[in-house]
Amino acid sequence: MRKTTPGHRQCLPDTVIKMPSRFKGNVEIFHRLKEIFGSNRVRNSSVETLLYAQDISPESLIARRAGRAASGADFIVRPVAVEEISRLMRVASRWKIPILPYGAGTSRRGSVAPLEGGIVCDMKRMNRILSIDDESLIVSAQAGILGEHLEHELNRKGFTLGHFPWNFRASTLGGWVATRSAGEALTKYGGIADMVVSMQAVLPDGSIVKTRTAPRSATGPDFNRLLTGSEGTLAIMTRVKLRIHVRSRSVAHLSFRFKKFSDGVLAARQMLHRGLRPSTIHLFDKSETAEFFADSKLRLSGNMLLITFEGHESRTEMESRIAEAICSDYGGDSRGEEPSQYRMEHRFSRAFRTSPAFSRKGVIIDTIEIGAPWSSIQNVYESLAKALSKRFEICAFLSRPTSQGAALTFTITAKATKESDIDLHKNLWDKAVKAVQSSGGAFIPTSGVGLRGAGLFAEQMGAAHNWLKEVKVEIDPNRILNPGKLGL
Amino acid sequence: MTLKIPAPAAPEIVQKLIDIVGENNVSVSPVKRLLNSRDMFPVSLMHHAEGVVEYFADVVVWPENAEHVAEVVKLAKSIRMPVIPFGAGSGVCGGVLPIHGGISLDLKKMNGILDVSAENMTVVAESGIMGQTFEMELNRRGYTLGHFPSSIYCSTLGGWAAARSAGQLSSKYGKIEDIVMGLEFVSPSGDITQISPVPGYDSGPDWKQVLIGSEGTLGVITKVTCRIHPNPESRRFVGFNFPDAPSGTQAMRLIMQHGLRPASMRLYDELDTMLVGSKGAEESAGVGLADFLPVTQIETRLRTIAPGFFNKAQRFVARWSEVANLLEKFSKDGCLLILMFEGQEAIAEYEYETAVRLCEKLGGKNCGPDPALKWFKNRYHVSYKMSKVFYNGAFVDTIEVASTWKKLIPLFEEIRDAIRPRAFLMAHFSHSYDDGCSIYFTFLSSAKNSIEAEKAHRKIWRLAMEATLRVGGTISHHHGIGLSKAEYMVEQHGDLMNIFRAVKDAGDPDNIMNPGKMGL
Repeated sequence: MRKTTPGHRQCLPDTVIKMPSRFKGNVEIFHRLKEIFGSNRVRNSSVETLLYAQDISPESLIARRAGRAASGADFIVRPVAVEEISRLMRVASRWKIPILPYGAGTSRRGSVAPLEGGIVCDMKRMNRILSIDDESLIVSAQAGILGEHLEHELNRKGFTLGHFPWNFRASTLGGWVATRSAGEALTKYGGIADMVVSMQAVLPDGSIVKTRTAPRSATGPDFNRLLTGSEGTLAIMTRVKLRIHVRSRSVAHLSFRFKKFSDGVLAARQMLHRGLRPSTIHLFDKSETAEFFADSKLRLSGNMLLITFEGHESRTEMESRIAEAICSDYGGDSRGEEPSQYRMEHRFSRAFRTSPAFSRKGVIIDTIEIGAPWSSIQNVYESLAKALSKRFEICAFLSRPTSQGAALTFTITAKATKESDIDLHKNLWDKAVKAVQSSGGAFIPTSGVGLRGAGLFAEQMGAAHNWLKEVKVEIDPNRILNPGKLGL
Repeated sequence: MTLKIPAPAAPEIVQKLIDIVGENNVSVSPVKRLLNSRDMFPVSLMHHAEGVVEYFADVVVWPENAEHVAEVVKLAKSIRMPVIPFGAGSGVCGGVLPIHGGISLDLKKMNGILDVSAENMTVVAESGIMGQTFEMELNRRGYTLGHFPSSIYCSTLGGWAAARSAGQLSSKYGKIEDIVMGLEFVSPSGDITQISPVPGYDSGPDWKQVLIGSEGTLGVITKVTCRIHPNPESRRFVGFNFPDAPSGTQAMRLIMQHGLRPASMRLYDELDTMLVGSKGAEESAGVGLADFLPVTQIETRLRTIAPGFFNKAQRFVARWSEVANLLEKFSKDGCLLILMFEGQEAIAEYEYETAVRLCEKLGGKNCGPDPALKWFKNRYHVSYKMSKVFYNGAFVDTIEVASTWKKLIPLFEEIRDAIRPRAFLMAHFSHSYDDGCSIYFTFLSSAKNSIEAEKAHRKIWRLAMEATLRVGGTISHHHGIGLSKAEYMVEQHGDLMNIFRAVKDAGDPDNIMNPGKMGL
C-alpha cells in the first residue's frame, strides 16, 4: 500500500533537522531486516522515514511550520505475514531497537512518533478480509486494512460494522483497535472494543497469541480489552475478528431545532432513558450549526438535534414516533429529514476540515473531547464556552450518548497573534484543562492516548498506571514496542 | 468422624488485625473459619458430605471500609500471608477455598449504597452488598440493575464483578462487565485505586476489564459504579415448541440478529423439555432433575434409617442415568423456547410481536405465555436443590460453555456424546448474543463411593472441556475458573497466559492474593 494520508502530502516541512539516532546507518540491522522482508519491503531513505514521523497533531503541525521536523525512524518495514512480525520482534529484541506499529498515521496524539528512532512497521500490506461468517455475523480481517475499505466491502455483501470514527477515511482496523476508537454510532453499535470478538497478536518475544473466539467468557481478565487501547506498547495486532450486522433496510432521519442547548440535552437524555437506541444523535450548538451547514441550502440556525434510527422499518417507525413525542415535550421544532441527511452525507469532510493538518497558515485548529455524565453536560459546555470564547472561536456538539452521559466535542480555532504558535496552543489547552477539571467532565482522547494524552491517562489510572508500567517491563523487557507512549 | 481443625493464625497476627479493624471484626472461631472456607464447588460438597474439610482459613476478618482492606492487605504482604476476598460463598469452582490457609477477607460489612443518580442512571455501592438486597433497594427507588444470576440470594456485587457473573436477563441488560462502569479496588500492594467511570468513551488498555474476572487474584474490589435502568413498565411472556435444538437455536439467533433484545430467552433440549413438561414447567435444570430422580426425596427419609437401602438406590441411579438418557427418544414436544420481553411498554410490545411472528415463520408452535411465566416464577430455585444430592457417591454438576452460532450445535453434540455414556445429561441454551450463545449442561451420576465419584466427576469434566477446546468455544461462559478449571487455563489461553502471569507477577510479586487459583 503506497498511499500516504493527505496530512503527509500537504504538510511537508520546510527544513529538515536530522536528529541523531543510535541506529542510523546500522548496516547489520538493515541486513537482517532484508533477510526477513526482502529488499523491496525495507526502506531507510530519510524522505520516507520523515514522512512516517508526522501525524496530524497540532504540535506536529506547529513544529513543521517552524521548520522543526520530528526526527524520523531509521527503517520502514512492510510485513505481509504474521511470521515476519514474529521474526522482526526477535531482531528488535536483540538490538533493543524500537518498533513503531503504523496504520494510516492520523493520530492526533503522537501515538506513532518515533521518539528514539527505530523501525516503523507499516501494517497496510496486511489488508485482506479473511472470512465472513454470515451465520455468526463475524468478519475476520487483517489489521492493516483501511477502515473505509473494510466497511465498503462489508456493505457490498449486505453487512455493516457500524464503526464510523472521525478519521474513517484514513485509518486502519489495527489503528482503531490499538487506540480503542469510538465512532459516532456508538449508541447503537458500541465502540471498537465492543466489536472485537477475538484477535491474533504478536508479543515482544515473538510469540503469536490468539484470544479465543467466543461471544463471552468468564475465564479471567479480558485480554481483548487489555490489548485493545494498548497503542502498540504491549503487542502488535495482526488479525481481528469483529461483530458485524446485517445492513439496515431503513434509516430514519429526524431533525429538531431547540431554542436552548440545555433543552436539546434533556431531550437526548430522555430518549436514552426511555430505552431508544438511535444509531446517532448529534446536538449542534448555534456555532456548530452555522459552520456545518454554511455551504448547504438549508438555512439553519440555532441548536440542532439530529437523529438517525437504523433497523427494520417497523422498528425505526416505532422509535421515531417516541423520539418525536419526546422532542416536542422539550420544545423542539421539527425541521424534517434533510438536516440530518445532510449531516450524514458531509460528516467526514467536516471532520477533516477541522483537523489540525488542514488549518490555514496563522491559524491553529484543535478539537477537545470531553466525556461527562448527563448531570454535568450543561456545566461542562458552559464552563468551556466561558473559558475559551473570549480568546478563541469555538463550536461544540454533543454526540455518542448512552444512558449515563455523552461526549462533547469542541472545535477551537485560534488565530495567531504576537504569541508564538506553541504558546498560543498551550494557552488554549491550559484554559481548557482548568475549565474541565472544575466542571465534572473528563478528557477523552479522540484518537488514543499517545504521547500527548499520557499525563492525563496516568492521572486517570492512578496507582494502576504504575502497575501497567511493571506489566510492560515483564512483557517487553527490552522496551522495543512503541516506547514512551501511554507513559510507558 | 471428628473434624481436624488446624491451628488458627498466631495471636500476634490476630492482634495486629484487631488493631486495624477492631475486635468485633476478627474471628478465629472454628465455625466462622469453616463457614468462610467453603463454596458450592461440587467436589468440596462431596467432601463436606462425608465430614471432610480440606482447607481452613487461619482467620476471618470483616473490614468496614477500603482503608481497612488496604491495611489488612499491607499487613498480609509484610508477613506473606494469603488473603482470600470472600463475598457470599456461592461460587461453584472452589474460587474461595483457602488452599494455602490465610486471611478470609469477608466483605459483607461493606454493604452501603452510596449514591443513586436518576439523571445519570448510575448507582455507586460498596462491593459487599448482597445481590438481592441491592436489587430490592434499587426497585424501591424505581430502578433495576438488570443483573439476576440464579445465585442472587447468596452472592454479592463484588463477587459478581470478581467472578465475571452473567445474569439471567443478560441479553437485555448486559453481563456484569457491561453493567460495571467504574471500580475502586485495593491492589496487592495495598493501594486504593479508582478506575473512574468515563461516560462517552475512554482510551488506553481497559484496566477495569483486567480486574473483572480476576477472582481475587489481582486485588480486592471495594466499590462499584453500575449502570441502572428504570423499573420495567411492562412484561410479555411466550413459549414456543421447536422440533429440535438446531431449529430452536436458529430462532434464537435470528431474534438476536434482528436486533431484538428479549430480557430472557432460553431453549431446553428434548430431555429438559420433557422434565419441564412433566413437572408443569417448573424451571428444569435441578428442580426438574432433583424431583425426577428419587435421590433427594429418598435421601431425607432413608439416609438415617436404612443406609444400606439408600446405597442401593444410589447405585441404581448410576445405571439408570444411562437409561434415563434414552428417554429422549420418547420426546414428543421437541424443544421448548421461552421468551420474556420487558421495558418501556411500546418497545416491549413491539419486540414481543416481532419475535412471535419470527418464531411462527420458522415453524415454532406457539404454546402461550404459561411456560415462560412458570420459568419466571421459579427462576432462582435451581441452585438450592442441588447440594442435597451429594451423598454416597451421587453427584450433580453443571457445565456452561459458549461458542459462536456456527459452532454451537457441533459443540452441543460433541459434549453430549462425550458425557451421555457416563451420566444423565440435559441442557438448555441461554445468554444469546448476535454472534453466539452459551450452553448450560446439567449432569447427574454416581459411583460406588466418594473417591470413585470424584474420579468420575473429574473425567466427565475433562471430556467436556476437551470437546470444547477441540470444537472451538470457551470453557466457561459465566461460572468462572477458580480451582476446578485452573488446569484448562493454558489450553484456553495459550501463550496469553504469559500476559496474565505478567500482570500477576508485576502487581503481586509475593503471591498473597488468593494464591493457587486460575492456573497462576
